[in-house]
Amino acid sequence: MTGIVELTAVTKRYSGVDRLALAGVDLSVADGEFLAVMGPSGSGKSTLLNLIAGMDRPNSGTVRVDAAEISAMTEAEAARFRRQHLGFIFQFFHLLPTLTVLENVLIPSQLGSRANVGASRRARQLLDDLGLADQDRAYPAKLSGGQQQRVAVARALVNEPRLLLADEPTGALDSESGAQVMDLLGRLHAAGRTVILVTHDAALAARHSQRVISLRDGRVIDDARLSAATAPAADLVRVGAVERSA
Amino acid sequence: MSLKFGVLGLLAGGPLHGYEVKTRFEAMFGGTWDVNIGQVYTTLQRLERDTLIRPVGERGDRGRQQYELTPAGQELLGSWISEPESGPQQLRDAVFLKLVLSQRLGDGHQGQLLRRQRRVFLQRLKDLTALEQRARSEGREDLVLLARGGVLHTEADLRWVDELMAEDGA
Repeated sequence: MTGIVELTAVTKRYSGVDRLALAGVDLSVADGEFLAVMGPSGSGKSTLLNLIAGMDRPNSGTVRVDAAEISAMTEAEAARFRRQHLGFIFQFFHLLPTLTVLENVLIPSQLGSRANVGASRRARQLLDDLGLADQDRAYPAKLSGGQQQRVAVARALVNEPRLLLADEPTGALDSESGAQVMDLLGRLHAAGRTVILVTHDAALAARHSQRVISLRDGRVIDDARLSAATAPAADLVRVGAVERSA
Repeated sequence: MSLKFGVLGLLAGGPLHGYEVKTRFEAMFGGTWDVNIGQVYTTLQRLERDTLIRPVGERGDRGRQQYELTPAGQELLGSWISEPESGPQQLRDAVFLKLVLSQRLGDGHQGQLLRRQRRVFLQRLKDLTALEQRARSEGREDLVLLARGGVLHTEADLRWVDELMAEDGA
């Protein structure tokens, strides 16, 4: 079965850098999957996400999203495709400071082919769902980090993409705001969206995903499928093993 | 050792009989520490012998006897709680032994073992973080503390395996 994201023998080398950022990556992500991509700094996590989003091109190999070969598109084609098919959440939000919250959320819809078709209604509904209804006219600088990231999530969702890409979305947030954003991604996944989360945080990756791939030096070194968390407490952690009767 | 102080700590909250000690002790650890009732009675007898606890009131139903802390027990408990623990770091001995033996035997299984061990740790992280969230939503701060400790130790185990994999080129 073909996945919503398909990478075949993808290689990426940045100019002026000897080693490969990605060295022959094959990856298939099923529709509706929550995939976490883990690895140390420089392992190729963000490169992988940027290639899936069509924000960068591989040196060889192909990247397909929703069966379209995004790696073969022109920059303009890729940008249009991106706005229609996927939402991207960055570590540092990337909100435009001179636009209000509502205007920021509406950016992808105004640039995309679905311009204004219910976009304003959707944007307001999203802000309402994310607890930001009363902030629609505020400017980003007036919001907390957690609120700004929720605005960024609303922006990523305004065109109703099936695929969400999140690059260290909690990296710039305090733990409580980070947990809220991750719960939000979990709810979006439960509602049927495919989520690809890049993180260096193993607990975050394991908590929310069904599958964890690990990169090192541009290669996938492990691809682990996780079961739903159902184990009882006593099977997970023991403080008194020494005292147990034989 | 810890059961002794666990019993003293529970009795510091008021008199209890042996079975109450067992059930409260297990509840305190969210079911993660099974205590044999025989161990509890043995511990109570030793504490009474050492005059750290004493019987209080008459024996009740089925001969149940309640105990309370003595001033000496109170003092010992207080000084034990206030001292940090300085014992050696306990590693996962079976994992360590398997890795060392696998390396020594040169049987080529180490890479595969590391990869499979890594997946066990990832799954445990998923389960423990879920337990932590469940404990938080139920307001079980004691269990949150325990689950959180489990998460952090498992993260360290995972990093340990990652380093070994990097060295091994696995």
